[in-house]
Amino acid sequence: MMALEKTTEKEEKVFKSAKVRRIWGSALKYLPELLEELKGVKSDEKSKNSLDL
Amino acid sequence: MKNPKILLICETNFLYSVILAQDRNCGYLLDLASENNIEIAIPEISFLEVRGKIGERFKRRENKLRDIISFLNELMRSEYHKRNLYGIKYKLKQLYTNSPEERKEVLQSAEEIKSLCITTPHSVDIGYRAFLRATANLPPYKDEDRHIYESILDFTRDKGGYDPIIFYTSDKEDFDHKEIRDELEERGIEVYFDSGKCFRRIKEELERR
Repeated sequence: MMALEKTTEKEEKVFKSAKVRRIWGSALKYLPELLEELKGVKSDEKSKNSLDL
Repeated sequence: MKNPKILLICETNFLYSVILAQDRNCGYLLDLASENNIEIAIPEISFLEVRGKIGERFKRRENKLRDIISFLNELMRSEYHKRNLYGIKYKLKQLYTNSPEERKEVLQSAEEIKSLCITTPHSVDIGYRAFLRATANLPPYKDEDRHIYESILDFTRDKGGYDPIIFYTSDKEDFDHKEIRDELEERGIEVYFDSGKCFRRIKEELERR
């Protein structure tokens, strides 16, 4: 869980808007099980790795 | 003369890409919308779909936690299990108690995306045209996708104030059909199935201005 949050925090810094930074990954943090049934959602390698931890 | 605005149309998967931190390009696109460089339009039905899914997932989690906690209660009738399982039960109860607050946070994120975008409204007409599309066996073939697609067609009718109009979806399986591509091309709507290519197209358009 720690690693997963670190990954999203690192990516958050990329966005200029504070609102986008806040929104980014909110469901991944609180509702990671949502990912498993959403196979259609494109996922980058980093996020896949973070879920494995 | 002032340049017409860039309109990007997205659907349900875009929302998931952002709240599940799955595609940074979608985050960049939302960033552009928050800075007022482009406008993003998302069908109302997509927000409802996401809201429904989030609510259902949290409910499922709460039910599972309740079952586990009541099973632990049965085990903890013995002193031996009481000693070993107390910490686990406490943590699970905490997860259960935090669930409504966490659900609120995730739903709030979807609402915040909404506040950065244009929500294209659903209507009886759109529903009727989606029904006709199903009867004519035209893509997209899934019911919700048909409503989303008809909602997009309805919104882009007489949208002269925008140029270019771009439709981005990662759902190639349901939206990449000749009929859809032809129909959108006829209306001058560009289609992208790759977020990177879509972001590059918009960046180039912004730099060109």
